[in-house]
Amino acid sequence: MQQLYNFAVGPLAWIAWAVFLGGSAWRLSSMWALARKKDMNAVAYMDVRFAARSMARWATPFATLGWRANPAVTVATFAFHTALGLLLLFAPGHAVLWDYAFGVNVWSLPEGIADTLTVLVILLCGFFAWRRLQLPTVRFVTRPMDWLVLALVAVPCITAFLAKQQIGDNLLLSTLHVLSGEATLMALPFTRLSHAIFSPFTRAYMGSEFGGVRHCPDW
Amino acid sequence: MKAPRSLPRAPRLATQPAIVTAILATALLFLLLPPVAMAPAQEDMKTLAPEALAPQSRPAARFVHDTHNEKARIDECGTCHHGTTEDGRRDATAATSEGTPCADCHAVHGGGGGGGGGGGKTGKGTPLERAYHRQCMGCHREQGKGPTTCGGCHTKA
Repeated sequence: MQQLYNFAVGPLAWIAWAVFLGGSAWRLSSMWALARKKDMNAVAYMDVRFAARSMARWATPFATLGWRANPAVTVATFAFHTALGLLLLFAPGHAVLWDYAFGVNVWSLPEGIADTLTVLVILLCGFFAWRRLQLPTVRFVTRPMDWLVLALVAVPCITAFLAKQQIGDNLLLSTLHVLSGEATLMALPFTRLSHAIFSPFTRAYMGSEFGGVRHCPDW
Repeated sequence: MKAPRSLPRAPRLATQPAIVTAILATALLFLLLPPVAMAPAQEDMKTLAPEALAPQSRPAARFVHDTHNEKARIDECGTCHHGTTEDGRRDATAATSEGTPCADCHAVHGGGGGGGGGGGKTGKGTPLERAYHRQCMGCHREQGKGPTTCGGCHTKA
């Protein structure tokens, strides 16, 4: 198990980053080629000003009608993505790995705050799972892929929490944390997690169409 | 005419060998005491918890000096207490830093000289935490033995 962990934080980490970066580049370029081939009108109407307006409004909680329609989901969505982003970039354990491998001193969150954010993300994964199970409108559009991507976020967080609190087999949980995190990284360009790389373009498209064609903001 | 009365003289220090000896002995005791109190003998060492890194955010790394070295079959002190070049870079051929705690040379934020005031070396100098992690995890990974996870060393008491 120790050897597996060493492999996971060593060679496999390079592979995971390569798949993530290469996969993302390939997905973006192939989507760009598809857009040019099938939807040149949309490409022609792309407008930086309308794109920026859409991004700014949809990045602000309750700024759009969509965000006002369901306040609980709005709060959960913003809290979830903010906490997850902070943990990915600034979790103390992640900072130690940057420091160890590259001698890069990355600022990191205080332990207590990182622990709280981890619990928050786990609880919000539970909230999203509950919605998919209990709300008919959400259940109707739920596919196996949605459960997969939810698990790809939940498992690294749950194992991180248990390993950090030293509950259960620490080596096993640490290994599962790194392996599941790398699985998420590699899956990102190829699953619905790809909204992480596509969302700016989705907003640019919507903002440009509503701004340039319909002459109104994308609600 | 009365001769001026001579005041009783304080006994001259140099003439009181017992007092001088006592003062010197006390001074010597104070000189010797702090290092003894601050740096426990290696055989008593159970954790790596240098004051320089306080307050610690994780439990101190478990490290029983003699047991570890016996188990890891480390006979040469210089394996860990490495020597350095003139500008403070790690050098396997230089004289070892045997008996010197890591924190004496590695400053918390890197650079020359450590928290203990030792060294005074120039050069970049590896920050203390990175030095510990690279020393311990690096060797454990290289040897394929010993813990490399956070909780493997930073165990809760």
